Amino acid sequence: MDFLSSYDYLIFLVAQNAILALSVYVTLMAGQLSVACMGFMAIGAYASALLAMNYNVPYPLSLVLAALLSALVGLAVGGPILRLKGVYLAITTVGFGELVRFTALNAEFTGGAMGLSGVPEGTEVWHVFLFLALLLYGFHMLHPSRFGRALMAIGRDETVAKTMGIPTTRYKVLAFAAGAAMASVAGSFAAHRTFYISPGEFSFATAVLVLMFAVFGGLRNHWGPVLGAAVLTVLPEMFRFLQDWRMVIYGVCVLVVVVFFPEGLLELRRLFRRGARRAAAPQPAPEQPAGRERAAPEGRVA
Amino acid sequence: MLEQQLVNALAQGAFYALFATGLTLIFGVLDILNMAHGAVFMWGALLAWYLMSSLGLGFGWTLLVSALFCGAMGLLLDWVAFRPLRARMSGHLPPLVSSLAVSIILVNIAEKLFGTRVVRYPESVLALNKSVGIGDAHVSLLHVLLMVMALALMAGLWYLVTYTRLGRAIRALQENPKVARMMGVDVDRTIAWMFVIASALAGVAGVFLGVAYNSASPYMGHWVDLKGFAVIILGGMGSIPGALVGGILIGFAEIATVVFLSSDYRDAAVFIVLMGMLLLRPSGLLGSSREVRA
Repeated sequence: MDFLSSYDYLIFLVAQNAILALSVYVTLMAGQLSVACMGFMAIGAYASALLAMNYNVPYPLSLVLAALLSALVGLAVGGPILRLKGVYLAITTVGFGELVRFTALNAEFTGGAMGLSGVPEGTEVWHVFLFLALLLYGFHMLHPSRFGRALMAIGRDETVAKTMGIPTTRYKVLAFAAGAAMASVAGSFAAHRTFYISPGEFSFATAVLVLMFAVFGGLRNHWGPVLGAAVLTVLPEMFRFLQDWRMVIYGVCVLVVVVFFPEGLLELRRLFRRGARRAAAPQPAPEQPAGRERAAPEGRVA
Repeated sequence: MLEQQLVNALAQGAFYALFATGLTLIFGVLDILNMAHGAVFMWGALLAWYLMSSLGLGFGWTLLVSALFCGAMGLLLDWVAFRPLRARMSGHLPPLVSSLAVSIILVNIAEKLFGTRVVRYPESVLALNKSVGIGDAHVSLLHVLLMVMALALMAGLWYLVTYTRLGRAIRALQENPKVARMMGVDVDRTIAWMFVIASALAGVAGVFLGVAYNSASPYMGHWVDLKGFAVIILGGMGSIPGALVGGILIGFAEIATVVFLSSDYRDAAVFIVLMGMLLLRPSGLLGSSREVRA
């Protein structure tokens, strides 16, 4: 029990970062590199906190309303933004995130640079894990579904997907909105957990870290981003004994893994089953839902 | 008053252009967003502070040493973060993350060596900031130096890319890396040179910005990275004149917001301009539409 209480916040962070990494992953499935997650996380955190503080909306409801709001913003913004491709899209989503942050920084109702304090308590660690489990189940169901296969087709080659009659724009915008809702829920969790939010938490640097979690873990299936978020959240704590040098070593670790395993940490398991690779149909790994790997054998995202 | 803002905008724009040229060179040719560019820039500024305050070097020597040091850093960056991934033919995301990791490493080493506080440059160098009145505007020697330097370096780079052997190799690489290799271009060496040049330019930009604002810290690279991306998108990826135009445009957009709205919105202006332009002209001001489709 002592372990749990002292590492309570770390455990919460692992789940929160995993949700954020999944929100990046859902757009990456469709080959769209979006770093808007911090913008939507901010919307979720502020909306839920303001609803609870000013209108006494009970906690779970405020979270749901904030997620709906984020999804609507995602739908509205996604339409024009997703016409752009590749890095153009990525940088525009960075711009979106920064605009949200500037709004929070300069508007009256968000408390400006001081942020909001005294957000009502609500989030328990198991809420976050429950949501994460639901998400993972959702992704598990998504992969063999029509929507999931359409997203992956778009991710592999958008032109071909379009030719095959997949309404690419609609699917991309939907994926973007879904990612927005997930990031928003993570934001609400954080707001009701730490009782305090400020614009500084939702910076570009953090958004890039979330992208790093996802790529570090691997993008072949939804376990990759979760693994990446968990490892990279816990790693700095494990390196405490290195004191000042711990972030340097952390960077070196990320570098080494990405350079030697560009497809992510999840691909480490390949080392253990080299022989099996030559088989006609790749066997799904035990921890992985069946049927996923065949859908994207050498698929690379973006 | 307005003349003064014009000078400020031009100086700011020249700085952005200088910083973004390296980014646009790497991105235009290799299709890679170099996330460590801002960290190299920060090292330029902090090393300059160290050289000037602890070793008492003059501004010229400092500029030279910082540029060389950052160039070497660029070489190292290519070796550890990009070259191994090139061999593996990974997509666009792994290089982005590996350069991000290098950026984390560089920022934290800088923290360790130079401390986390904001450092101030010595008095002798700040004399460069002293301004001379021309009409209503005050122009400092540093502003003039920066603008001349930015123009000269970018013209030099443009000449290099257009007329020299290395430049031909770079352009061949941009066209098609495989064919370039078959035609006898030493791909790895050409790319290494590009990183050296890009990083040296970032170092020069760092020295100028540090002295101009009289402040440098390990975290100064983050916001500059953002602006740099905005500049290369505005100007069109891979276009050196585009980086100049984009830089100056963003300089003007920022100063205009400060003058006509308020300084709170200074950083937002960049992105409003950027998003507006992308929706109207998705390939940038001077970029070709080919790059967008490919």
